[in-house]
Amino acid sequence: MKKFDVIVIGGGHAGCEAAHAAARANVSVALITMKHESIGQMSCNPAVGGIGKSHLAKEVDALDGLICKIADHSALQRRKLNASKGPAVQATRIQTCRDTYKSKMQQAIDAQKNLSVVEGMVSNIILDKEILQGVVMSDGSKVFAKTVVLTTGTFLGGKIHIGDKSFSAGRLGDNASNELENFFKKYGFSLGRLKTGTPPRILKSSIDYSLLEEQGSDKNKPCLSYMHDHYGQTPNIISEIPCHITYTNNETHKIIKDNQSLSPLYNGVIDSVGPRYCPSIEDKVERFYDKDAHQVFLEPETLSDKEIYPNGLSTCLPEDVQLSFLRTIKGLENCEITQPGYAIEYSYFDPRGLTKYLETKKIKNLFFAGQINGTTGYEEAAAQGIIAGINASCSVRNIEMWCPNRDQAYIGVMVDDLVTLGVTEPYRMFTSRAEHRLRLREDNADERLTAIGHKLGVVSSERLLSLKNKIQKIKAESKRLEEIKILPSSKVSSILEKKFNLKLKNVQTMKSLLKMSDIGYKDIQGLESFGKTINSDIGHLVAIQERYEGYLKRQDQEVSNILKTQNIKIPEQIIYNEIKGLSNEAKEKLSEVMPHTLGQASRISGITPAIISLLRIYIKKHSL
Amino acid sequence: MTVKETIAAISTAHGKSAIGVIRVSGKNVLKIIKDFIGSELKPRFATNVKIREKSNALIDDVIVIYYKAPSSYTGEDMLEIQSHGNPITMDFILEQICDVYARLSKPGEFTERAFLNNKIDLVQAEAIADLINASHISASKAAMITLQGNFSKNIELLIEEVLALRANIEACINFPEDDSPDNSNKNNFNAINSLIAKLSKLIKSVDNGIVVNKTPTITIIGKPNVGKSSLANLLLGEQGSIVSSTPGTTRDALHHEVVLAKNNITIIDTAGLRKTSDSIELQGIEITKKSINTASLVLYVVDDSLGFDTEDKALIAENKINNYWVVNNKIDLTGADPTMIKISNVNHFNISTIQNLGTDNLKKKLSENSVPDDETTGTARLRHREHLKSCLENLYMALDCNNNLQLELVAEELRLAHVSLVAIMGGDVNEDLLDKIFSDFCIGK
Ligand SMILES: Cc1cc2nc3c(=O)[nH]c(=O)nc-3n(C[C@H](O)[C@H](O)[C@H](O)COP(=O)(O)OP(=O)(O)OC[C@H]3O[C@@H](n4cnc5c(N)ncnc54)[C@H](O)[C@@H]3O)c2cc1C
Ligand SMILES: Nc1nc2c(ncn2[C@@H]2O[C@H](COP(=O)(O)OP(=O)(O)OP(=O)(O)O)[C@@H](O)[C@H]2O)c(=O)[nH]1
Ligand SMILES: [Mg+2]
Repeated sequence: MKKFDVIVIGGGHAGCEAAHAAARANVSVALITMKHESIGQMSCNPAVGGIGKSHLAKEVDALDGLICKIADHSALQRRKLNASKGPAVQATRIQTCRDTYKSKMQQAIDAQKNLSVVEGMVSNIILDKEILQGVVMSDGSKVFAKTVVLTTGTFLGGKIHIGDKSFSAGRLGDNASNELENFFKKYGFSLGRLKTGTPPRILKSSIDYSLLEEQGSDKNKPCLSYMHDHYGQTPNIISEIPCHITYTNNETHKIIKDNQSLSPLYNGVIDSVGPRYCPSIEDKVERFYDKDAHQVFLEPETLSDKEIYPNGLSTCLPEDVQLSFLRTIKGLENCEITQPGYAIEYSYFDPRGLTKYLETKKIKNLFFAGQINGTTGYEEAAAQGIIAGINASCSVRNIEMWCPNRDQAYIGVMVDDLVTLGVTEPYRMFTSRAEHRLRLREDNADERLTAIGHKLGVVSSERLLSLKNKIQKIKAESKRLEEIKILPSSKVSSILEKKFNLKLKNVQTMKSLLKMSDIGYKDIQGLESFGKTINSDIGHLVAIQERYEGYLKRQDQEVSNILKTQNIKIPEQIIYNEIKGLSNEAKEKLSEVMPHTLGQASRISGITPAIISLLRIYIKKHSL
Repeated sequence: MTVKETIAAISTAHGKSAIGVIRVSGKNVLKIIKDFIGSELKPRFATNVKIREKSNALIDDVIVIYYKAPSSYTGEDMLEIQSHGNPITMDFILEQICDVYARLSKPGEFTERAFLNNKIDLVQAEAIADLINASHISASKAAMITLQGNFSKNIELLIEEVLALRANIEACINFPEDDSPDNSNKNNFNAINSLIAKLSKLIKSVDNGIVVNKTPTITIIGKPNVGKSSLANLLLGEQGSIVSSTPGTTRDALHHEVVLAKNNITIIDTAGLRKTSDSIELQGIEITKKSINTASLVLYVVDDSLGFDTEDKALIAENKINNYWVVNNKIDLTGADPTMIKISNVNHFNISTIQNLGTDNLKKKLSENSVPDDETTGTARLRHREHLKSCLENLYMALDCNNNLQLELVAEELRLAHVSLVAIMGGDVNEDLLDKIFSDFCIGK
């Protein structure tokens, strides 16, 4: 009989992080997935990162997760986005080789101790008197465990549409998990339907690049993992392949419009909601009819470089229409399709059925992570995966579960949004969702999370040491710069006046110069009295801290009182029906969401400040 | 336990009480006594002090009582300021305190602190919490009322403008690789300045108190043709009702907004009351009766040449009018003096609307009396003012950051500005923003 501490169902981006994190925490883990060869498969665009998404990915990395390291090792193109816009909103994006990514992920999973991969399809969950026991495989065999993490992506009730063809599938080439869906339906889980889509893939040799704009990596080749950009390791370098940019035109749009009725998105066959930020080309042409052109990025898919991913052309028109509109586009006049674009409808669970530890409220020790919670994207999936994996291991080890707060991590923002508000469209991270955006930066996820991860047992001691080294270097450089004084009448001060129109009235330190908006670390490095820095990367981190210090301090003061109330825990055993003075509506809403803190309660729609004071009074009295 | 922020509120009972109480609780109480009250206070002793404006003009003669922690209702240092209950002066005093030393309390916060400091037990607290919930509803009702008309329209316009600017900036930040909109430093500068100008104007109007829409209502009634519409027009300063010598000209209750001494007042001109069988006229009389019920004061107009007769007395009794003043109009015809006298506690004014006799007397008395009859309205107004002011601060900061080319900081200040405005009107900052971005810009490469 096979028995484990944790079973993870699904070898996608959520599943890999969940399984690997639990195994790092030293509990025994089975990763059950349909095919070993598709572990770590990127179903869509093979890119990791981007605004908001790299923030999540780096937080996973700060907890010693896999996604950033593997993306760094399989990079075809590496860029920093928003480089001119201020460090808090900068992001890293890596175009990866899909095949390399997948095989490196498989290597990482296979090499991890405490972690076994079981191939097969899970068809049922075993409960004995409400207590979770394990899972049943489609061949009837059973695997037992104390906890189960479900990360089956778009596979539950998945249905693919291409033109008027539609068939059941988890993604093109993979079977859907319909039996498993039945278990949850029977058990009263609340399921909804969402949809997403993907563009056709194009045979690279059929594209004429001669007239297209090329986009290569940034010069300084940014990395995603702290191991590579702050802790001094170098990633495996595979050869780089640039992207190219082309545009649709009025002829393209005309073909799409003329055939609109053939798209299941428009003829009523698909009525589930897709993401607004990832519209199909049918949608773009319809909604932004006054635009003469839409941008298309031709992105490499693999190192072998046979297929191209035309980013921006998600569609589910019939294949022959796809081909004819593609061929109107510059560079694609003679292109061949290797795989048609399609839309996929799938089931997801209302994430309000989860605690913030991603454990289901209905069945203890059962966790959900990834796209089944209504999110979309690898980074979103990975971030939930690592939280679910950590918490499954916590449950096994009998230690307190964990999830970061909104002011601690984008992961905290995402999980809080999901479990408090639910979703109405596939949820994707945007930096505008984070009210603490200036604090939750790409440069400091490790400072925010790594030590906590070490305590939870998922971060190695070596890694913690690397972090400590980094912090120490920052402190040292910060102190060094603080000790360099600049006198008003000195030579340096006259340079400052000439270059930055800055008249010093009294003595300044080199560090305080960094507070000025238009003076960067590079600028002060050029000044005569600058001296010698240990490491200019570290210097840039000092500059970032200086830039936001005043802001964050002000924010701290403003929110400290609010936070005190926000962070008051609501005991799990609270029974809202017994609280006198609560309206029925409030009782219902609070009982449904079962918020963890007063702050979370206050974000539920219709929960007024008066209700919050009432709860606060009640909690204080009853938890005495 | 730790001393928290200092809070303040007007805590008069509803309605027009003779005395209004402002309560302040928290660590800044001593500072307020020192700086604002300006005299030493012995705990628990009532002291009479004069509150002055910065220009040294006398605002009010008030009684103040200091309760030293922990022997107070909340268990913290507390100050009670009792004024004569004129909400305008109370608002003024509260504004002064909230500008520097304290913030407005949330509903039930005093009780909450009392409970948390073990000053009252749970049963009591829960009972009071019931009230908090109830009063919260009435406060939001009051806020709704305040939010009618131009004020809320202006706020909505401001929100729209902030949203458009934020959508533009956030689209640039979040989707730099898409066909994101043009965002230039100069456009931001203009947009923020336009917001600042509009907001400043709005704040001024709030400071002048003319945005409060839940206003005392004065209903003008009387027999036909006595000059009700003429009086309404006079108070209005423009031809609002139709004046004519045909009895029964006004068939409907006509509502007019006027400003008297910083206060908005609604004046309702009604159809004359008399025994009639004309169905249209009867309808008008029904409406008049309703307007009497909503009135905070009734002006009962009499044609002086006919005198205040038994029919008038009967009409007053029949319609259960208890808060009324009598206005004897058309004294130009009778030659009576334009005086004001009190007869068994009812004010009687002699006036002529045509010759403007005695009308100043009436206006003056009306403005003294024009107090909002629901204190929550005043408080709601103050809350709005607080939100608008912090919004303005954020906009100025945004302008600074924009000058320094720090787009992410501009975005942060605009977010805070947006949050402040939405706190007045309600709405979901994040969702509204995403909606706007995705409907305005073609995002999604
Ligand atoms: C067509 C398509 C288009 C997409 N477009 C975008 C996009 O434009 N932008 C974007 O950000 N994201 C997009 N995504 C989403 C992104 O691919 C997913 O969000 C992400 O991969 C989700 O990760 P996951 O771990 O939750 O699930 P997945 O990566 O889907 O992994 C699920 C895993 O579970 C396994 N599995 C399923 N059922 C069972 C079972 N019963 N037993 C055992 N194993 C099982 C599968 O074999 C698979 O390995 C798209 C996805 C698809 C399918
Ligand atoms: N001499 C004199 N005439 C007045 C005075 N005030 C009003 N009148 C006249 O009285 C007549 C009726 O005036 P209105 O103001 O229409 O009276 P009303 O009470 O509203 O009448 P209804 O709407 O018909 O009920 C008009 O001809 C006015 O000019 C006044 O002070 N002196
Ligand atoms: Mg009239």
